[in-house]
Amino acid sequence: MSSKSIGIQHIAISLIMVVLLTFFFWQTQTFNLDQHYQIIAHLRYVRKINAITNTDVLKSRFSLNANYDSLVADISLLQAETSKLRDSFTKINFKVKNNFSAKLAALQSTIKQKEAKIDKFKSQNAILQNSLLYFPTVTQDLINKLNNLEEYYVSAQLNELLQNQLAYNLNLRNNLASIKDTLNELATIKLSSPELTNQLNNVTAHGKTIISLKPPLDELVADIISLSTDEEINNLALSYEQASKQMLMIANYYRLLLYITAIILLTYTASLYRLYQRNKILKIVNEKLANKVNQRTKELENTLEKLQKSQGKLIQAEKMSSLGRLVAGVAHEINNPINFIHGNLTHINNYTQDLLNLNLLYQQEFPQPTEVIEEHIVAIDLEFLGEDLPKVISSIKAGTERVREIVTSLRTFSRLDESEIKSVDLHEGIDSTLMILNSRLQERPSRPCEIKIIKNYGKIPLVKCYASQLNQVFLNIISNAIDALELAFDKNPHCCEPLSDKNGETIPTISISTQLNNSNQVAVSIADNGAGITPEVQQLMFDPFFTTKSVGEGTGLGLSISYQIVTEGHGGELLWDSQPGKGSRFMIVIPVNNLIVRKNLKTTTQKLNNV
Amino acid sequence: MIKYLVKIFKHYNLLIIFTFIAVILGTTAFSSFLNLQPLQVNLETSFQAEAVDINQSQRPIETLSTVNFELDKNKLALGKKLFSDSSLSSNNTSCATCHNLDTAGIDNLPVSLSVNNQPLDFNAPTVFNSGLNFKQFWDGRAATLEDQIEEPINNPLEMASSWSEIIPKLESDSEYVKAFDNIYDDGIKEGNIKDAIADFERSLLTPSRFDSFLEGEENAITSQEKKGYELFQSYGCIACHQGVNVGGNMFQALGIFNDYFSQQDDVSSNDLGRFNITQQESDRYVFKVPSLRNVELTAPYFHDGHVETLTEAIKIMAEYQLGRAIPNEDIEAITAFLHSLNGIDLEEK
Repeated sequence: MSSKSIGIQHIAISLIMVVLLTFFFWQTQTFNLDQHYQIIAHLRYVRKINAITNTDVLKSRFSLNANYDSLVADISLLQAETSKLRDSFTKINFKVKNNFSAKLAALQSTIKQKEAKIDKFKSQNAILQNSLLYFPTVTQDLINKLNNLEEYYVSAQLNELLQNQLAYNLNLRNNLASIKDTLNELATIKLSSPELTNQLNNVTAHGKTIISLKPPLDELVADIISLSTDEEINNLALSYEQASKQMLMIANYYRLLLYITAIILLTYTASLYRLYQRNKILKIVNEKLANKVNQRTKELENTLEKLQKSQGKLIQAEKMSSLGRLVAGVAHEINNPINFIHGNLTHINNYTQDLLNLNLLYQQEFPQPTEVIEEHIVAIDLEFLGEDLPKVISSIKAGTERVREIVTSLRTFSRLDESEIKSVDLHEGIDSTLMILNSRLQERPSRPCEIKIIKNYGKIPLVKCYASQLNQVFLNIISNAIDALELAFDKNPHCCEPLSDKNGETIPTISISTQLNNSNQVAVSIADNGAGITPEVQQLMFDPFFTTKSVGEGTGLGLSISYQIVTEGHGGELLWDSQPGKGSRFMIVIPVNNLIVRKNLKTTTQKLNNV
Repeated sequence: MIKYLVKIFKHYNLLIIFTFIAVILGTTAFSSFLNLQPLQVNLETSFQAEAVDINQSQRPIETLSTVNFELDKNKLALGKKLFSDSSLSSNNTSCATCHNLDTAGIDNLPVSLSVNNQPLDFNAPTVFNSGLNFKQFWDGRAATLEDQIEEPINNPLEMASSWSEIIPKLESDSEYVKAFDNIYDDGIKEGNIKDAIADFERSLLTPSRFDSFLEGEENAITSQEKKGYELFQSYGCIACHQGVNVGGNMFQALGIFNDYFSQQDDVSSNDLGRFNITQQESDRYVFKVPSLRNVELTAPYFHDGHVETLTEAIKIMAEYQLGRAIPNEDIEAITAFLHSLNGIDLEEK
């Protein structure tokens, strides 16, 4: 998984959650608490107005209200507030099934009925109130006017009517029938004067008005009071409350979802942040780890390199040591017979000389030999033999001399007996090395002339060193020089033609010079006019196992071992200089009397052991 | 180092999981607690709605100063202009044609005349104090002044117009456009025109000397007028003509103690009154009780303008409505009281 794809996923998930969050939030907002309380308050208000209206009807009925303005105000307020309530309800988006609109319409029509009834009440109440006020006074007035006996009966009846009416009006007695009877009876009576009769008519008219108006008016009032307005408002409030509860429940459900989503989102974001932080730390740790691995790898590489070097050194050392031993052994074995031969050669020479002298003496004493002898002399060519034999012997002598020299060289080179530090004459080492390499210096079919060695030895003191090791260095460098010369001169048609080349040097040459730099340092310079070293090779030539030769010919250790022997083994320097096509020069600079030498060697061996 | 970090992360994971569980449990508990609801109540709203402010009048007649219409000055100016503007009609009439503000808000005719001078159905009631009437028209067929405006506008015998005719006319008048735009968000609209006119009409209140008397000015009315007021109450006129508008807040049948209409010569269907609206027998001959403010200035009287003088009207009322006779002396006193109900401003005209 790449970090980018993770990012897109996270962003998508977060976005979805934010959308959900918004949706849930919106859902929780559908229930408006403020609006809810307004409606509840409004419902209560309408109910209260209705109650006040009822109260005002009763007050008006019992003349506690001086006018109908408040009643008019009540009912119009009731109507106005109900229609406002209806508006409020239509504005609300109820998410649950409801029949509020029908209920409100019913309420409004009930209120309309109420208004009509109240209008009727006002009319009738006005009439009744007037009659109730007028009836007692006009009746009492008439009673007072009736003085004669004839009219006493009427007077008594009027008195009774007055009392009955009073009781009736106060709802003390249900004596409607007797009042009616009395009124009917009085209506037929004619009094002494038309004025009195007229007044009596007034009494009966108002009395009748009272008894005909009071019952329906009382009924009307009861009707108004018991009209279902209050019940309907209450019902509406109850069902509104129920609907609100359901809506609130839904809103709360969404609120819960909102909380949960918010928490999840929060946790998600937090974990994302933590992941990010952890990734950051992991990255740092990884980097450190990688660095460490790199470092370790480098260390391992170095160690491997060292191991390889020391392994090579060990191999070479072992090789050299066995070679040394072999050479020493061979030299020793050859030395005896050669001494043998060499020692006896003098005798052979003397004896053959003696024999030849004897032969001459024979010839002089016996000039005429026998035929057999004559024949034999001819056969062996005695004269030639006498001439040649000394030559042969001297030739053998030269041969044995040469063998003895070689043996000495081998012994010097191997120095098997000299593994300890000794003061050595370096010239001896160089010479013995040249001796060993003599065969390679000779002319060959591919090279018509031999390699010229120019020695330019200076006066140098004996040098304290590991002679065999230094000889190895000489051997390596000189044989490299020979290789370089071979590379340059083999199959070169101009080889060995004096001054045929621009370089002015056509003869393969190795110049070896020694000199004392100061009292403490000896420099051995070995130069050739060979192929030189290419820049690429220059960079690598001291690396162990690096070789320009074909497989099996070189180990690739020569220069690296030489370098180590000079620098580490002897505290010296191996300097070099090369021009491709012109030749190379190596200079070994070592201290004459170096006390550190031993120490260095020790540490080197220790290091080798550790590895 | 790495091992240490891994250890810390492991602990943090546990911590986060525990926090998560705790928070979820917490919120669940919290929201179930919220189910118990009312955490917040808008007390202001509920108390406002609870307070029912209805003027509990203790006196049969109340002074006009108890009336409190909240009216906008700009609206009144616009309403006044519209009230007198004949462009609301198709026949060069305006509201003011029949409800002449200079003649106590009436036309002084028994019944108003149509464009063709044909008599219409009813005596034009005064526009003054009409805002105090509980319903409009003699038979109360309009609940509000706004509703009332509809009829004369659309009646072919009266202003013979319609809103679709009026509105373009008003819209062509830049002054109207400006005035309406100042007051209403939606400019010239049927409802806004009615609103402006109705509010203007509500502003037409006529405080009288009697109002000053009610407000405690004992000498605002004469002793004769005071006596008239006493009689007005004792005879029972006050039973219907009560309230701040001295009437205008109820219906009453004409002819309670005697049949009024059987005594009349030409009875028309208009005399059925509210019956025409409700078709109920109990509403036969029932009319809105008219206000007695400015009654002296608004002759002739009754729904058909049949009665020319106050004395006559009082006599008829006594006979048919109160079921008793009132002596002339008392009638004079009552007339005097009614005189005190004239708007001071109207009397000066």
